[in-house]
Parts: sequence; C-alpha cells; structure tokens
Amino acid sequence: MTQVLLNGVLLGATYALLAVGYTLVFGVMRLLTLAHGQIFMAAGVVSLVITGPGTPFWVAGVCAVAIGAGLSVLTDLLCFRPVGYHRPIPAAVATIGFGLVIHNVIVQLYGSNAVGAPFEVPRADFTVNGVLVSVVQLVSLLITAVVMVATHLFVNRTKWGVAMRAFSEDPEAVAVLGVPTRWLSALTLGIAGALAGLASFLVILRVTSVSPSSGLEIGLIGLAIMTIGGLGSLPGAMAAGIALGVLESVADYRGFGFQAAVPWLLLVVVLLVRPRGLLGARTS
Amino acid sequence: MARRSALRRTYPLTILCAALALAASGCSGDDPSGSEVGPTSAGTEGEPISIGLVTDLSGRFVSFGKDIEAATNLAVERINADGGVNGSMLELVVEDTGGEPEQAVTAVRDLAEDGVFAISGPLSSGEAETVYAQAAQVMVPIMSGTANKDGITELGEGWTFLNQATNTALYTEALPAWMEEYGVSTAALVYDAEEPVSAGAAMGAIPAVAADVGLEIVNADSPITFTRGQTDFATTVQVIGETDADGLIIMSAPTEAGLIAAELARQGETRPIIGHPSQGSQSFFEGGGQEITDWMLPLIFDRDSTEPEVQEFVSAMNEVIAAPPLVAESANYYDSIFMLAEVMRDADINGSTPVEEARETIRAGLLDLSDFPGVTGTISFAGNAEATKTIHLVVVQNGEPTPL
Repeated sequence: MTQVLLNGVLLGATYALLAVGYTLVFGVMRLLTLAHGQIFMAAGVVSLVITGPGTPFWVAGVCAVAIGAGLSVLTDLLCFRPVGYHRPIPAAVATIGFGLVIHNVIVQLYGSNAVGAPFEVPRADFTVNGVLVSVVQLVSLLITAVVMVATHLFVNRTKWGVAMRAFSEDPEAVAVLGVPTRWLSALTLGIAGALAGLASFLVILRVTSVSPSSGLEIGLIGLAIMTIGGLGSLPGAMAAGIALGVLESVADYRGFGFQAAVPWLLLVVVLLVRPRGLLGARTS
Repeated sequence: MARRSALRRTYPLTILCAALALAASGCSGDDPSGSEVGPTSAGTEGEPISIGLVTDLSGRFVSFGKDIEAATNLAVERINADGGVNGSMLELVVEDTGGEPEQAVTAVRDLAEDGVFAISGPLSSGEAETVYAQAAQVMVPIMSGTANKDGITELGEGWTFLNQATNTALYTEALPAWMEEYGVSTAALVYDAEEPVSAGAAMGAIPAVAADVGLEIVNADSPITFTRGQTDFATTVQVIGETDADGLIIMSAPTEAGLIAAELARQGETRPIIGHPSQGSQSFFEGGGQEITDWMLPLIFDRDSTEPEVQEFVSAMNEVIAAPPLVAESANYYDSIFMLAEVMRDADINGSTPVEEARETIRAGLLDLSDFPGVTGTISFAGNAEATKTIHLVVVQNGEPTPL
C-alpha cells in the first residue's frame, strides 16, 4: 500500500500544478480559462517537436514553460480582453473556442499520434523497503513543491501579488490607483500558463511522450480539482490535487474500475458536504 | 450607449473565435457540403465513377484518417493512370467524420445522395456499428478497412463489408502462436474500459477464443482495466505485477499501450505480451520506445515484406504521409479501391451505369470475390461479408517489430 500511496502523491503533484494555474486565474480575475488543458498539451507537444535529438532535456522544459506562458497570455488577448473581464460566462465560452483552436491546430500540424521525447531522460530508480522510487518522480515532486510554495509566496508577499489580490477584490479601484491592470491580467495568465507548461514537461519526463488528445481529459481534471480545493484557493488546489491523485491510485489498485470517475465523485461529495470546497473562503 | 458600443466591439470577436474553432475542428470544408473531391478524371470521355471515402480527418484518430485518405488517393491515381475502369475515371469524394458516429451517418447519407457507387470506411468499429445499421436504407455498398468488431456486417443486411480481419479471426490465429512461442498456458487480461475497440475485443473475442484454444485467463472474472487518456500507469502495472499468469493480454489504443510498455519495463515486468493490431502504429512506438519487448502483435499488413508491390506501396506512401511508419490499415483501404475496380471491370460497370444498378452489382460482385491479390495478402469474401485476410504475426523486441 505504501507504493500505491507514493504513486498517488506523485500523480497528484502533477494535478496540483495544473490546478494551481486554474486557481490563480480564477482567484485573481474571477474568470475561468477553459483552454488550460489544451495549453498543457500544446506546450508539451510543441516543446518536443522543436527540440531535436541530442538536445539536453531541460531545454524542452524551458520551451514548454515559455510556450505555456505565451499561449496563456494569448488567452487574455484573444478571449478575456475583447469580451470583457466583467463578463465571466462569455469569457469562459470564448476560452473553450480558443482551446478548440489550439487542439485542432496542433493536430493539423503534428497529427494525432503521441509525440515521443527526442532526448534521453536519465533514469535512476531505486527500491526502499520494497517500494520502487523513481528519481525523475522525486525531482518532479520537489520541483512541484518549490513552484507551488513560490507561487503562494509571490501572490501573498510581493507587490505584484498584492496587486493581483487587490484586483480580485476591486479591479476598478486598483486601476484608479494607477496599477497597470492589463499587465496584471497578462502576468496572472502568463504564470498560470507557465505552470501548465511545467506540469506538461514533468509528465513528459515521467512518460517520455505526450498525446495531442490529452488536453481535454487533464483540463477537466484540473477544473474539478480547483472546485474541490475551493475556488480561488491556492493551498486548496494543492491539497485537492494530492488527495485526488492518492484516491485515483487507490481506486486503481483496488480494481474498482471507475478511476476516471473519481474526480467527479469526489467533487460531488465535497460540494454536498462543504459547498465552498476544502479550503475555499465563505462568500456572502 | 457605451454598453451598446462595447457589445459591438466584443461580439464580433467572440463570433470570430467561435468560427475559427469550427473551422479548425473540420466542420467546414472546401465546399459548402464539407466534402473534398480527390483525384479525378483527366482527359477522358466517359462519365466518372464516384467512390466515397468516409474517414477521420479531424479528432482523435486524424493521423489514421490522413494515412487512409493518402492510400485511397494513391489507389485512385494508379487506377486512373492505367485507364480507369471500363473507360471511366474514378472520382473520390472524401467526407470527414471527426470520429463521431453521428457525423459518419450524415456523411454516408450525403454521399449516397451524391450518387457514389460505393463507400470505403468508416474508420472505427463504433462508427461502423452506427453506419452499418443505416446501410440497408441508403442501399450503397460500404466497406471498412479498419473496423473489426465481430458480427457488425450483419447490421447492413448484405450491403456492408469488412476488408479487415475480425477480432475472432485475428486471435484464433495469434493466440495459439503466442502460446507456443512463449510456452504460455495462463494469461492476465488488461484492457481500456473506455475504448470501444479494446473493450469489445477484451469482453468478446478474446475470452471466447482463449476458451477454444485452451488458454486460461486467470482474471476473467475481474480483468484489470484502465481508462482512455490515462497517463500514469504506475499503480495499474503494480496490479498487473501481482497477477499469477504466464503472459499478459493487453487490449488498448496505441498511446496507452506505449505508456504501459514503458511502465512495465520500469517495474521490471518481463512476461510476454500479446496486444491489439491498432498498437502497430507510431503512437505505440513513440510511447514505449525501446522498452517494448516480447510484445506480439497480430497485424494485417507486413510493411517489411520483400514483395515488390508492397515495397512500392510503402515507398509511395512514405513520400506523402506526414509521419512514417504508415498506419498498417491504410493498406486495406488501398486494396479496397482495387477490389472495387476489379468488381466493376468484371461487371462492365462504368460512369454511365445507373447508380442503383451499379450499387447492386458491386454488392453482389464483392460477395463473389475470392483470392484477390492485394498488398495485404490474398483477400477473399467468397459469400461472406467479412474478408478472409492474411494475418502477419510480429514480435516487438527493444522497440523493433520483427516477423515471428
């Protein structure tokens, strides 16, 4: 069972990283970016396509983060700004369209087959008391933890982070105070997209390929995690991601046969028991 | 007033975004019907013969669909270059299904109304199951080169054909060979519960054939399942590792199979595996890489055959497809067009033949076809709507497929 729990934590860490992006955007802008899953996928696919054989694997990571950030900023420019930050439903619908465009452009350019990593990922697994541990997974977990803590500190302890939080409370007042709100929204989406790109790269390190069809599935899971954790709560997204990974792993191990339904079952249970999510703030 | 002007600014952009999405998802085409017309007559006098192709040019299996379209175009070009069929050139009309059964039905109906003599496709068993149930109403011969679910041709009441080995045919030949090659007498069954092709094989043909050939499936009552789109197989493989069987039967789409292969290697699993023909594609080899070992695949096409026709086909395809290796099943679609051409030649059908008469004659002619020499081997219908195909068994070692 220790192995199952470890597998779950490692899986959940990736989920959490993705969900933090959703949560950041919703927490700051009160908007849903439903193209996030496709940005995750596109960052992975394009980073593998543009890095050829012989390239150090970390180059793909840098590319994935940059592509994720760039596409996410485009979400702001093409969906949120034209529709308006104060119109959450049309803005969310526009991001669905943008996600479809991303998916179909990737499929038309690179096909629907999985894209394999052109570089060698150093593998060094070891066993501790019968539990198989992968160094790649451990490093991924460490990176995830550092990035999540850094994101949390950035939002809560820096000038830009304070501006982000103020923007979520009263965007007009922030604008009146002279804060460049357009830059603020671009920064928020850029960070969220960079996290999606990083999550995609960490998955690639683990499985050495990425499928163009993976965006929708993982995007929906990220959305569920954000809701389970509490809308706009970064610690909630982190906790929910890990919890979901562990539950999925246990369901898989027990052979329940409904692993794919676990996020949605958990979502229903959480919403029934605690409608504001695990760590969500009470709203009036 | 300000609000109205804001709306004027924003709605066009929203509409533009939605239109782009629709365009990119393949809902629009080069003409208003959404059809594409492929190679056609060049300098001929007779009426062309319209043949339909229904395949996935968008959606999850677009790479399969594009290879299939390329192979079909190649066949049409070659037949036309040799003078066509009884003085008429072939004209290919392509419809995209997006992998959606409902869209496939619409595509078939559109093609039937357009007067095609026969239709090649659709791609998946799920689409074929829906389309074949409508075939008797539109009364057009329809032949898939990829769907392989047992019994689906019965839905077409004589109008539907499979130029592909069914799961039962595949595993009746493959399972005994696998058992003999690796000394397997017990196996654990693992399959993708959300993927219709894999689930259909795992719940239908595999247990039935296993019982017939004396292979015990140790977890027949509770097979190990996973779900389409899953990327982490650590726990799934851990469960696989706890089964007490000589070998593993893994029914899944190629992407997930590749990831499982990599995880099996990581966890030190060395038992022999038998997979599904769909795993003989790029996604499987990209995902699993050199970690794929002792993995047998029953395929309907041997890309590495030394037969000149096969080498010529593979060479021509490699020049036009985006990412070699080509999808093996595209060879079935290539053969399908040549089979249709032969049936039409034998029955003196040309572009002037009344559509209903041509369709009825092609249907009867396909049923009578036997020992047709295709690039996939010898193909026979001989009174049965499911073709008898040559099955090629390959074993993947260190990521390289080699004939058994």
